[in-house]
Amino acid sequence: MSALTGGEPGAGLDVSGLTVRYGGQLAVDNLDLSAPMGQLTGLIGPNGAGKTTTFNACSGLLRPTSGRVVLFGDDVTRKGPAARARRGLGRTFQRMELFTSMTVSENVALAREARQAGSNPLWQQVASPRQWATVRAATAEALDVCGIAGIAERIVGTLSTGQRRLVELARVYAGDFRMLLLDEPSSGLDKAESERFGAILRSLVTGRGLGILLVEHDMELVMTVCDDLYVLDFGELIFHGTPAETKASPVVRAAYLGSEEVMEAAGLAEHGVG
Amino acid sequence: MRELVPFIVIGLASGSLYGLAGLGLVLTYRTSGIFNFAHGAIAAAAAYLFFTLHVSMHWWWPAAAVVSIGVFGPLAGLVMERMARSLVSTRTATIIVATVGLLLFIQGFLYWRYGSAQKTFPEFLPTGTAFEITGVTVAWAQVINVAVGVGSFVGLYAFLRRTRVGVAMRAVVAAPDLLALTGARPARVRIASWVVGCTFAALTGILIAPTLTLNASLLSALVVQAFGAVAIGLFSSLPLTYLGGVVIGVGASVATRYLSARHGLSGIPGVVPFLVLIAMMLVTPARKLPRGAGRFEGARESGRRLPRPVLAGAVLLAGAFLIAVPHLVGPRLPVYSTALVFVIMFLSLSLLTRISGQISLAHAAFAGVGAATFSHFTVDFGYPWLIGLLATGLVTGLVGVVLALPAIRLSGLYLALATFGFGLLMETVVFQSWLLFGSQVNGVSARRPEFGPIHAGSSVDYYYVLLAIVTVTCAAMVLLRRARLGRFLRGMADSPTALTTTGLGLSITRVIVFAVSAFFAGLAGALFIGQVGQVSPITFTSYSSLLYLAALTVAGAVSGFVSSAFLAAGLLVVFPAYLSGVTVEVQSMLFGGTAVLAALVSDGAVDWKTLAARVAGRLDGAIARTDVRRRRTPVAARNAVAAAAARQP
Repeated sequence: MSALTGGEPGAGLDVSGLTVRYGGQLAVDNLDLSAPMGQLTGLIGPNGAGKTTTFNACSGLLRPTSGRVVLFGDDVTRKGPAARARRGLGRTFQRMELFTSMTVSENVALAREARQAGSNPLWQQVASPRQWATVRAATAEALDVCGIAGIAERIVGTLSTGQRRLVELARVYAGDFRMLLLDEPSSGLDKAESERFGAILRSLVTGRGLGILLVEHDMELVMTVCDDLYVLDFGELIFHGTPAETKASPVVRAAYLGSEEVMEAAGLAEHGVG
Repeated sequence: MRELVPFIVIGLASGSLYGLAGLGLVLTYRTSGIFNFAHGAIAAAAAYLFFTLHVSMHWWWPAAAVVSIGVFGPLAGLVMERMARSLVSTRTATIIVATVGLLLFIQGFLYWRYGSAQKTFPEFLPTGTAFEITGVTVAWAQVINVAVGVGSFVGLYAFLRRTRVGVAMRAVVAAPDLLALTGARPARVRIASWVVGCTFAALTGILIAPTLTLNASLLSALVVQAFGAVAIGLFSSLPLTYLGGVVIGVGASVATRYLSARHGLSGIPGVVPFLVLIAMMLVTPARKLPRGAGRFEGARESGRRLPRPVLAGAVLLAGAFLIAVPHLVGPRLPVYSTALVFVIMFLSLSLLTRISGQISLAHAAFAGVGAATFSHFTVDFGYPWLIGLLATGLVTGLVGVVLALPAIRLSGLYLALATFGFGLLMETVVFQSWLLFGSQVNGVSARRPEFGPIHAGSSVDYYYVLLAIVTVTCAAMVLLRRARLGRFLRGMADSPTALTTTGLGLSITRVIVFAVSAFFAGLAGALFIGQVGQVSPITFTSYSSLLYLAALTVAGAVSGFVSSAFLAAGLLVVFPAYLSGVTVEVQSMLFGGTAVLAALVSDGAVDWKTLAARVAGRLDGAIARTDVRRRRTPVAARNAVAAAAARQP
């Protein structure tokens, strides 16, 4: 599967001056962020910091008040979610968006089918034999990579949260997206699953050259897998740097004050706050 | 200008009442998230109650008014609040079906109890002249209507600004989750808003009945005027809603002045509210419309498939029965033929609602277009039967595309309202045009097929033709569901967000499914006309659309995609033929009531286990209380006292 086709090499997702207002509430304030290809970029911050809002603006589900979203060098600010997906932007959801009445393999296959069909009335109705062969191969590979081939024929509505997370990941994998936005993909996973998950993510970035922007609460995972970190608080970017720099930052520590657990997990507490 | 004054006066009086109805609707929608399609039906029920008390039982009118507004209104509000509470976390479509079911139930009950003939509703308010403007007399009743409308609006506004409950109501509208944190009880607020909303409905019903005459469907349709007003208020603003009602009232009245004499346009004044509703739905950006309660995804029946041999056996048995029907049922054959037509209708509706998670309250209108078009093609243009049938399907498919235009942008409730407005517009204006039924009272006719061994004159032959088409339709539907389009449609019902973020252009998908569904509904209309000979537009009302949806929901609660179409057709068409008491009114009550129950039970709005546990709990409590009571009998009491005394050291 060709991962890097078209677009400028290295140029992944670039967000500049992104501002989102809900009524009088400023959810994201003038955010600059860039998630290049071949790299795992983390976006962290306390609850309500504006992470999911940023994702929604990036994937086109939400129209930003101002700012630009550039994908692989093209300005997509005015494009809808489907058009962005067809350019290679895939995402998962914190509150998972799955086809709960369908089987795991149907869920995974549908992502690739949706990309093939796009807005073409003919391809929305039938698949050509070649398209279908691609779908089958992509589905099989995705199920295998994510380790869920064993539950391929189960109905998604009957699965556990951890299994559903993997289905969502398999879906963006099968969809052949080059830039992935993953919204808390490891919540609900146990420790072993979480480690396996981190390994999958690393292999996607180094092996297939994808770009990943990751929102995650599991600090241990974030600190081990990410190359670059952005820290949001109340919609504002308060820090940008490597995981090591982030750990050392007093600003980040102050933002996380009160959530000792998170800091301990991330190794922030070792510097001693009080 | 002077000649317009009387029309403006009439328009102000009725518009003020539309605004009043709209206020109740907005208030309950915004505080509970449930849009009440039965709002007008509650108004109708109050008007009938007033009629019974005042006219039949000769009560003094203020006493009758107090009971039907002050007692019935709040009671209806309490019942509605209870229902709304159960529905609030279910799917949007379930909520719509539940309140539509309630509308059907109330309307059916009123028809059944009072008959369908219109009754003159006495003007109980003083009709004497209040004053004159430019020589036009204004009656006291009109002044009172406007005064009540304005007074209720001002009163509601003051209530929302000044009282604790009122302020809490506004908070619920703004942020329901936050309110619970402040210590105010959202439940109390919701009860208050439903009580106020339903009392407004009752008030509207009684005040407007003298001008509309007493007729259950006219009064229930009052809600459409309220829909228009609410749409002008963008489903949230109270002042704009009230103003919207006045604008619609005056607009319709003035339109009567100009258009009632013109042929072909005489229906226009009556449809001003639908036009307003449709226009608002077409131009308002979807994000400006408030999100109601309900969710799209989840809890859809799934995965519970019958084992293959069982399924194959059932299909074979059903097939054998259907083939044998003409030899089994004798003179009742036409009933079964009609039922087959309805199977196609229900499959087409089910494709939209059950498979794709869309909603249509205009399916009878598609069938109507199909019937009229088929008649033109085969009788007027002389097309061969099969060609005419397919061409009819294509025409209604195109109409489906026209309806899909609002569907592309809207979803859930707003889609339902747009289709409802479309159905009403077809029914009241478009059907009368020469393009469709024209102005003939008897409606249009069509030939039956005649080829090979098939004779047009034989009912049995036509039955088998219908059976063949039903078989083809079933096969097409099953294939469609399994094909790529079917997977997309099922995906769209589960999570439109997931589909669109993986690259599918959902607008195209929605247009396709509406076109396919309308194609088959058009076929049903065309085949229906061959079955009954002559069809008038009266068959294809919005009321029928609502009834079809309720029947399908009831059937769908207990059966699968294809089988529910057969079951619904059986319930709607065959069942009444065997039970003479089952008239349309009774069906309306049955389907409406059952649809409400089915909506409450499906999606876990009411969980049977919890309900059973609660009933068991109540029973336990009752038994315990009986125990206590038994202990309180003198002997038991004395024993207890003695026992207590004995235990004293």
